[in-house]
Amino acid sequence: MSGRLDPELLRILVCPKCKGELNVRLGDDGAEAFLDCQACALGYPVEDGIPVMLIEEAKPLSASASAGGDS
Amino acid sequence: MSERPGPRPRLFDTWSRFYNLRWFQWLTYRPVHNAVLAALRQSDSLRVLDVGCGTGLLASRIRRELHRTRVIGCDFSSGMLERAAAGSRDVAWVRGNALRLPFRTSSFEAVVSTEAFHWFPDQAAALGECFRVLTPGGRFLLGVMSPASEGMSRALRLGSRLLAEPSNWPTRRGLRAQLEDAGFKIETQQRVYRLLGGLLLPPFLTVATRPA
Repeated sequence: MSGRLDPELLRILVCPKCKGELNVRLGDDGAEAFLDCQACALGYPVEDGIPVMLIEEAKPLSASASAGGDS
Repeated sequence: MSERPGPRPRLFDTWSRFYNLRWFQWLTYRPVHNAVLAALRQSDSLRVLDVGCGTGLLASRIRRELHRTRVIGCDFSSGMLERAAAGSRDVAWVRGNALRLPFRTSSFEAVVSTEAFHWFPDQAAALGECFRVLTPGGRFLLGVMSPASEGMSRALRLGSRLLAEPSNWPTRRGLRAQLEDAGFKIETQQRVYRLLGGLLLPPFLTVATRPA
């Protein structure tokens, strides 16, 4: 399974905290790994193809960026 | 901003295990789902959000029965969504909190929520979010059990706090007032008949619109 998110879903997802735009960060497998909010410096993980849009489970952007993405 | 943390996800992760049993569904949620589907059929809702979708039975059914509809199911429990995703790939599943929905303003022609509202620790915030993500003229279909009196609603609130997770089941009138405070216009409020809890806590489906 590629795990790629539905483009329609990506179009309407925003940061739950500031309702701002999200940037997709792809993982090594080419699937979405994180949805990043630059304004809040939070990365929302995508787990098994499900975006986890919970502030308390988001990773601080610097830490998650060094952990796995290829942005 | 201080926010009550809300119900413990683990309770829902455990609950999700027997949630999908057929007999359990017929006793509990199925009649409410039927009412929601009947209401959705009355107008063309191309994009539907299910808030507190649980294991996704209603969201999957909407997708199956209303072919042109695009459905997003949102729940904050990973256990519930795991089962939801195993059941249907035609619905987009998102882990999210009803008090802080991760969706753009005016994204849905319909928002549905069944048997979840009583768990929301800040119901006004949840209603505000449902209002926000609806398109002007969009409809909110809210299925929740309603006690007959304010006294009973208060007693249940206290009891639930002592026994398990704090829950708040407003009366029908209370719910209408909450919806109007959030800016909604009430369209209909109908009783849904089912066996379990039918007399003490009958479920009602309230349909409200975000004024155009």
